[in-house]
Parts: sequence; C-alpha cells; structure tokens
Amino acid sequence: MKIKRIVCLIAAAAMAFSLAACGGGNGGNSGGNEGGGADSGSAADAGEEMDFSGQTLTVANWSDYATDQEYGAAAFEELYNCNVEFYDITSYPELLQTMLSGGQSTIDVVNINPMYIQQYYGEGVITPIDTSRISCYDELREDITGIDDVLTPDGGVLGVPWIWGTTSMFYNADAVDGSEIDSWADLWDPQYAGKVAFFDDYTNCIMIAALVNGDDPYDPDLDAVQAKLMELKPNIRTIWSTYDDFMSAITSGQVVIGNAWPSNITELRNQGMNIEYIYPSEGTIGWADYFCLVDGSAETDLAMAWIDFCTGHDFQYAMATEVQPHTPANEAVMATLDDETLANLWLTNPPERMYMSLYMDNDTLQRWIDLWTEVQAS
Amino acid sequence: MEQVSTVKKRDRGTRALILPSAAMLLFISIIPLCLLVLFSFVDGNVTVGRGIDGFTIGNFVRAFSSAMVPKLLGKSFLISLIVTLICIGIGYPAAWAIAKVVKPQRRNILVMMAAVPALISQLLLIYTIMKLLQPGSVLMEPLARLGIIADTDTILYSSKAVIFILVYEYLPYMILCLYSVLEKIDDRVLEAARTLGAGNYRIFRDIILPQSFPGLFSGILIIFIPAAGSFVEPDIAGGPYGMMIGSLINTQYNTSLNMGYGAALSLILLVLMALALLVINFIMSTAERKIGGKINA
Amino acid sequence: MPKNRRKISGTRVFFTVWIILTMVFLFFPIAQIILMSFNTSVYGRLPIVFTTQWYVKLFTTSKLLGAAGFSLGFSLVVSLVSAVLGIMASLALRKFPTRLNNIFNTLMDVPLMIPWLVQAVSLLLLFSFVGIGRSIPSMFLGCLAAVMPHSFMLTYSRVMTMDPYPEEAGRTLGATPFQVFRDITFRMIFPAVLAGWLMSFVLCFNCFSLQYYLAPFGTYTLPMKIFTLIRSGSKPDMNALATIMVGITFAIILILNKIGFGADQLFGAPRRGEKE
Repeated sequence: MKIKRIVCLIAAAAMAFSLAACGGGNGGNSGGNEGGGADSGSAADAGEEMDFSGQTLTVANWSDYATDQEYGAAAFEELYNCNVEFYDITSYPELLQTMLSGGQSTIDVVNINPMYIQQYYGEGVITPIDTSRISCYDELREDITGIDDVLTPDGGVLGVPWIWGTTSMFYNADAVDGSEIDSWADLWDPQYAGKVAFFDDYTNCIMIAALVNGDDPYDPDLDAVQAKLMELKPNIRTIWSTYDDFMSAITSGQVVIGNAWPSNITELRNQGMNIEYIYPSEGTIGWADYFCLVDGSAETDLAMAWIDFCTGHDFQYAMATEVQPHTPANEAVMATLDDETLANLWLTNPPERMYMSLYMDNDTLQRWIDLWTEVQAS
Repeated sequence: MEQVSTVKKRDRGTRALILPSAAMLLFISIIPLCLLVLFSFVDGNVTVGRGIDGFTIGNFVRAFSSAMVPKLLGKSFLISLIVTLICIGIGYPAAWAIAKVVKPQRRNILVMMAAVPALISQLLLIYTIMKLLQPGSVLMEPLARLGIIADTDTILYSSKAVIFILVYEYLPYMILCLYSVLEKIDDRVLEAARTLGAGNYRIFRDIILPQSFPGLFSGILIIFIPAAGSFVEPDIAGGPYGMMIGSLINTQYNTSLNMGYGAALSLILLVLMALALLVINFIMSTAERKIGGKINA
Repeated sequence: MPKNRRKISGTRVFFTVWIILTMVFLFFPIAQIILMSFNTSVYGRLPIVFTTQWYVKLFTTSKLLGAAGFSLGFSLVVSLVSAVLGIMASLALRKFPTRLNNIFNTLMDVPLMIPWLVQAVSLLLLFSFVGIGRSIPSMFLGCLAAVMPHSFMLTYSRVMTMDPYPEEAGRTLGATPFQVFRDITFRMIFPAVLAGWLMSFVLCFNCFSLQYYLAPFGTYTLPMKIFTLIRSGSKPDMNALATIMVGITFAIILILNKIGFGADQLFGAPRRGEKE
C-alpha cells in the first residue's frame, strides 16, 4: 500500500510539471498510475509513454459523434498502439440497463449526460476519476466542470466534460421573416401552424414551455407547462428524435422553424440552405457530455489516457473544425479558434443565458416523462 | 405381436424428436410469457441482478384509470385493423392473379418478387418510404409538377403515412399466405361451377373464399399483431398526433425504466389481440359453416 | 359463347393490371433506394447527380459490410437449425394423438403473439438469470425461438397432408428408418422445408428487437447498425448496400427459376393428381 501511495505522489508531482507543457496535445503524458504501476505489467515503463500494445479500450458513445472519427479513435490508437472499440449508445436509460446486465465488465469509458451521472453512480456503474491525471483539466469550461451533478457526496469527480452545446432555435430564412423572431414564444405563432419541428426530449420541451411561461425552468408549474405544450401541438409538424428525421423534414421544406442542434444547422448552411440558428431572449437550453470511468474497468490506465486525449488540444481542435463541428469544452482551444470556426459553431455571439439539463430526482423525472408522453398521446 | 412392439418402439423413437422443440418452446417462449405476467405485477423497474421492489396491482390500476391508455389502444387497434383490411384488399386480387391468372411460367418469379421487399431490412425501407413521401422526392415531385398535388402537400407526419408504411411492410406476407391457399384450388372445380351456371360472385363466395380461409387467417395473424404493437413507424412518420400504444410500451422500457408498467401494458395489448383473433376466427368458422363446410380435402 | 369469353378476358385484364400495379407499389421504394445509391445528395433530393462515392464508402470506411456479413451468416445458421427442428417436431407430432397435436400447435402460436420487444426484454432477464446474459448463444436462442414456429408450421402442414403409403412401402421393403427418411420422407416434404427455411431466414435477418437486446457487446447485426446509423445520420452507403442485396436476391431468384425451381414447390402444396 505504501509503495502505491509513493508512486501516486510521484505521479502527481510529475503531473504538476507536465501540466505546464500540456499544450502539445499529446495526451500521453499522464505518467501516473493509480492502480500501482508495479503490479500492472503493461505500465512497467511508467515513465514518459505507456505501452498499451495489444490492449483494447471499449468506449460507449453515440455513433458518428466526434470520437469515432479519424481524428478521434484512429489517432488515439496510433498514439498508444492500442485498439478502440465502440459500443453505440441509443439512450442513457437503455445504456444503464446494458451496463447492469453485463456491460460493465466490457465497457471501460462511458459518455454520459449530467442528468444521468448520479443515477449511474448510484447503481455502482461508474467510479470517481483522479482528475490530476487529466492534463488539461484546469482548462475545461469552468461552469460545466466539477458541478454538483458530477460530484460524489464526498467530492469525487465522476465525469469530465469534453463537449458541450446548445439545443436552440432555428428558422429557414427563405420561408420566414427572421427579423421578427427572437423568442421561444414565436414557435407558438399561429402563422407557423404545421411547420414546427420539435425535439422529442422531455427536458427540452418542458424547459422551453416553462421559459415561455416565464417560469423557473428547473421547477416549473407542470400543469401550466402541459397546457402550454398542448397549445403548441397544432403547430408541430414532426416531433423529431434522430438526425435523419430532422434533416429530411427541414430539407424538404416541410418544416421552417423549430429547435435543433447547431451542428446540423451548420451542415445545412454549408450545403447552401439559408438557415439561421438563434438564441431566444428567454435563454436557451444547453447540454454537455461527460466521460466517466466505469467501475471495475480492467483498462483503467488506458481509459484515463482516453479521457486525457479527448480533452487535449489536438482532439478538441479537430472536433471544432470538422464539417459537422462540435463545441470544445477546452477553453484554451476555444481561444485559438478563428472567426469562421466560431461562426460555424454559432458562437460568434455566445448565448447570454443557458439552462443546462441537470440531474433531477426520480419522482420529478417520472413526472416530466409522463407529462411529455401525455402531451404526445393526446 | 412382435411387429406391433417394433412399431411402438419406432414410434417412441420418432416421438422423442419433439424434445428439442418442446424444450425450446417451454424455455424460450412459455417461460418468458409467464415472466411477462409476473413482471406486470412488479412495482417499478426490473433490473438484472437486483431485487424486485415488491408486487402490486398498481400497474393495472394505473393503466385502466388513465384516459390515455384506452385511447392509444383504440387507435392502435383501429390502425392495425385498417392496415390488415387494406392488405387483404390489395393482396387478395394480387395473390389470385399470381395463382390463377398469369402464365404458369411467370408464377414462380412473381411470388419470389413479392417476397423481395421482406428480404431488405425493414428499418431501411421505412426510411426510404419516408423520403419518398417528402415533397420534392422522386414520387412527389412529378406529381406536383403535373399539378395533381400542391408543392408541399403530403400525407407524411399523419396516421395516413403510418398506415401507408405498415401496408407496404406487411403486404408481401399477406400475398404469400393467400397465394399458398389459392394456388391449391382445383381448376376443375371452378370450371365445373361455371358450367353449372354459377356467376363470378357465387364462385368466389362458395368456392374460393372458404378454401382461402386458412391462408387468410395466417395472413391476419402475421399482420394484425405486429402492426398493433408497432412503434417505430408512428414515432417517425406519425407527426404530433400519431402516437400508438407501442410507443408507450417502448417508452416504459427505454426512457421511464418502468418495466412493470410496460409489462402490464404489453399484457393488456396481448389479451386484447388474442380476443380479437378469437373473434375473427369465430367469424371465419361461422362463415365457413354457413357456406357449406369445408370443401378442402 | 363468344360473349362469355370476352367476359373472362375482362377479368383477366383486371387481374393482370392489378398485379402489375401491386408490383409497382412494392418496388417503387426499392427503385428509389437503387436510384439514390447513385445520387450525390445525402438526403435523397432531386436532381440526380450521378456518383459512385457511396459504393466506394461502403467498401472502404463503412462498417455496414461487416455487419451485413455477420447477419447473413448468423441468419443462415439460425434458419438451418430452425428447419431441422421443424422437421423433427413435425415427424414426431405425426405419432401423437390429435389432442396433443393441437395443444402443441397452439403453444407454437404463442411466440407469434408476443411482440418481439416484449419477448426480447423477458429473454434478456431470463438469460441473465441463467448466467449467459447478452451473448451469441442468447441471441441465437432468442432468434431461433422467434422464427421456428414459422418453419414448423409450413413443414407440419405438409407432413400432415402427406401420402403415408410410400413410407410404408419403404419400410415393408426393409429400409432402415433413416433410409426411409432420407430417400422418401425428406424428398416429399422438401419444398415445404425450403419455404420454411426461407421464411425463417428472412425473419431472423430482420428481427431487430431481439438482436438489439441480446447481442453481446461489440457485435453488430445489420439491423442494429442501420438503427444506430439512422439515429446519428444515415448516409447513402446504406442505399448502396441495399442495392447490392437486392441485386443478389434477384440473381438468386433468376438462377432458381432457370434451374426450374420455383414458387410452386415452395409455397404451393402439390395439387391433386400431381406426381411427387
């Protein structure tokens, strides 16, 4: 035990030095080894680089979502001479079931939304992370790093943010007069009857309705929200849940206004559509995704190297500048982005007020889900 | 005497052949069904490797007291019925055409062709039809150009679109089921009836229809149940008013994580479907008796 | 008489037109898939700008091909086992009293009645309890249970209406039970077995829910891959794959037809007076 502690101390010291040199983006400078370098053969040369040859890291994430691109897994594999496998997420509750029914022994790292992190922790699926092993941890956007939702009761950090974004409002500027649009309430405008695309997500829709009602989006009057959403129904053309649903509806001109992810809007604009993405005056809905370490993972070192890599400069920069850009959580990287990239991220003028979807207790969660289901069913 | 005993022994050997299927039926079909009944009384979620919170009839109380559930059940039932009827409407003449009208050498290829859509991933087909129904698609653009429909007119994002997709998905099965029975009808019987002065309607009612009942029933079985439980189609093509009971069940499994309630809803759906099939079966056998019993050998 | 003939030809025209329209209906979306696999637009929009980039993508970077290969192999094994089990059960049932037969038949309908989603979740719990959890054997058993009733029903109905005399004759002439089966029974029921096999193959290939819940981690069948791709952004390489699959299917149909094997043997029971 003592030896382990000494190793940890040395590692922490090494980390402190390497932090200054973090800029290189070579995430491989995490020399520390919590589990004890001595008994894990792979990390025998616990010096500069660790040799992970022949090892496989399994990451649960959405498919086609930054990490499985060329600059993601492929670059990581080359860097560490290892193999990365993906498990495709289809929904967080389903993923939790998957983890509990055997996935925990296979998956090493999971990407989770903060709404679910406490639940995952409560079920014993994830374990706190030694953030000193994340070389760029201090550069990550402050208001999403180490927030209550990702902390254990005794202060352990369960998730490291690597990507964030908004689910805000868009309109087709060819079909809609954009100068009038600046509020979520515009979705309720009768002139858009049957032309609204609405994201099938209970947090988004309840928070938006609450904002329109002038209510607290985290604790709204649910009856008023339900009534408000029922009013919106005649305007809705489709309740979209996937990229494809949304893209087909908008490219065919059936939908001219609604809420969406910025990367999709950028993709459409790059293809010549006259489309705008705005942040309504009431405030917009934000989200962030966190990498979490699976409890009992056999590849803890590799998993930590992965989280380190995904928050490092090279990956974060590549992610921000690809065709379907994603917003980096690393502020140091954000600062280096040029105007065009920022415009593609719709962050030339960042949103003033952003309401993140956060953890809620089980009863509230159930009530929100039931409310949205009822609105859809009626 | 000796011969009889060998026959018996041989029979016993043959009878043993049922064991693998019987075991499978028991363990992979009957036990899950029993589990479903059990889970429908479970309070909250059922998670592997974890205890159950307790048993309750709350799930059924909740389902029966909710205004939403009967409504969704009714809608699913109705949509499923319409889909089945349309499939019969299109599939019956089509199957008859393949079985009796086209040249025998074309018969094979037509049956196979009818099965081709079923060979392609259903999810992919659903998305393709979605794209077809979008304004500006290969189908809609020419129609719009010809002035048959308005530019942005489409049935997409309504229950009509859901029905369209479901009909497309299940029509091949109906054609195959009906073909297998219609093909067996003896041409000489039809000829004889005609010679005896029976009109087309009489021939259909008294000869063709009764003989096609088994195929018709299996076609209904294959279509009616899955169509009522469908959730992918209404979710993506149904628009804001398209939700069906399958979506609600699916939500319980993958969003709300309330498997107990999901199981209860599934069970209610299952019982209703079984009742509906009993009714259909009863109507068919009554019709069969009325018409004059089975002609079929 | 001429009047009568004209009337018949009138119905003939009606049915011919009807079957043509039905085929057009069934093949329109497939034609769209083929067309779009050669179109540059990602969203299936007009005009059509010819490209083969989606085929290049399919064979280079796409993960679809591997999933398709796995699905084909998996469905093949499942449907073959299902066919064998179907034959065994049908032959056995012949020796049982009618009442038992009916009970077994009714029970066989049960899997047809349970929505796959529900069955998948129940099976996952059952398998986890037994200890095999999500694995290839679980997925295999789950899919087998879902498709076997289909191959069983087709085989069973053929076995029950089969002429018993050729087998009897074989036995009387001293053939072993296996010989009787191989040379007589199997040949007589072969078309139904083949139809059942085909049906199970198609169903197994498509039974997404069961695969989704029972597949081990890192194993993707084609429907699973398509499902996740559609969620995150489907690209026309899916259309390219579908086009190839349709092409192969048609080739198989044409070959089967050429060698004189067709639907009659598959889906139709022999007509009275027909030689077997």
